[in-house]
Amino acid sequence: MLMKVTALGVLLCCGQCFCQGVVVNTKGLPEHGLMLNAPLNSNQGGIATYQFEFQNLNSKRVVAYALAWTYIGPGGRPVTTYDNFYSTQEFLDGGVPHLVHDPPSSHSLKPGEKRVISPISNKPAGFSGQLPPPGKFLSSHANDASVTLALDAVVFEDGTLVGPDNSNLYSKVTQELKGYDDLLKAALATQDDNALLAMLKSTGTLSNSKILTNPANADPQKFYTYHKAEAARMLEAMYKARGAAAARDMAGKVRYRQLPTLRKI
Amino acid sequence: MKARAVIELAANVLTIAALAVAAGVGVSTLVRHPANSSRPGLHRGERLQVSGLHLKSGKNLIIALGSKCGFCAASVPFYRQLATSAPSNLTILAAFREDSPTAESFLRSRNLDLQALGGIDFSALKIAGTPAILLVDGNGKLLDFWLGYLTPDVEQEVKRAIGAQKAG
Repeated sequence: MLMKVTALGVLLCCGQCFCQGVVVNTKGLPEHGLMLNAPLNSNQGGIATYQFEFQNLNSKRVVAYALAWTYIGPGGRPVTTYDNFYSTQEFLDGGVPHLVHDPPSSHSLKPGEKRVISPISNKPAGFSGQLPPPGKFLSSHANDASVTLALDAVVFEDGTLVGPDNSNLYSKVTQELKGYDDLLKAALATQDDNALLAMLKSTGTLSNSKILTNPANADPQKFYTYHKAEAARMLEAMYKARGAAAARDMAGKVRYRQLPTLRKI
Repeated sequence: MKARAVIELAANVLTIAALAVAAGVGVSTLVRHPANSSRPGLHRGERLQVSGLHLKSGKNLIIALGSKCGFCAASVPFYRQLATSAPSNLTILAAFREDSPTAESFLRSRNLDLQALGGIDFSALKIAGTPAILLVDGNGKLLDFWLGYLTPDVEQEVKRAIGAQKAG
């Protein structure tokens, strides 16, 4: 009897939840001309429910941004994941050679430009994992009550950053540049060749790529260590291929000075 | 024994009826709403239908609650912090779909000193569930919103957004 009554309750509850569909919310930054438009073909269901449009109505070019995806399941507890979209090059002062090849940003949005945003089709910066296939993504979100897409942080071409920045985009970028820069300074300051190689080897093992499967969800300190280690491994490779002088030469040529205008407003 | 048999029969009939209703609802839902279909929700910057809320000039924080909502009850300490740290230009309203006496009873029993508003049409406010927090200006323009049971980080974000006088 009790089981039947419970089954009755579960049935009626599920029916109610199912017929509602996923409530789709957006948090653009309209005060800065940064619009997030809800899915245009939401009646189709499926992946169209999660295809948003990001439009830059500001007069300045967007060079980087962070998205926050918040899903609320049937239990009512929100789960937020972040995606960062940027190229390190956009945050550097001057056109100097770079240690790590980072092409000009494909994440930028010119004034008036629009971009379709989806959790399964936009690969964030530094993301080394696999984006979920549509079927898997949809089945894992089949019972969600709502999805909210928010612009967590946006950086304009003049270096100004707007938005709450809960994903610490600002701190991560600055820590990344500091990690590179500190390693280069340390390399230049180490006169002895053997000591240089030992330093590069030990620093290079401090962090590996597995730590940053999705950098957007890593903390800034890990970001610093990861990029310092990455720079050390690259200099070590140069040292082994062409010797200590070449490694020092490389360390002397590249610069990771932060764009002086980068600031939160 | 006879009474037990009658209860069993009634339970069976109710279960079959519920299955039939659920199947009907499910089929019609599938026809009208394909899998992962969506409903429009809240969009920062839009203007909400706020008749009946009697918004004040400045900022208004609408906390949507339900008397049977577990996360609402669990969030009461946070709401109390909001109430005590709100700046003077912020009005906090506790909105309920249920009637005013139920709303007032919920707040009073939890020692929550907020203005209660009962009988609010949540669908007009595009609120699909409780708890939900909406920050709107005096004209109903949606400045920001937070849905569901909030983590401590997000609670801090709410405090920053309202310009709370004491960061708790």
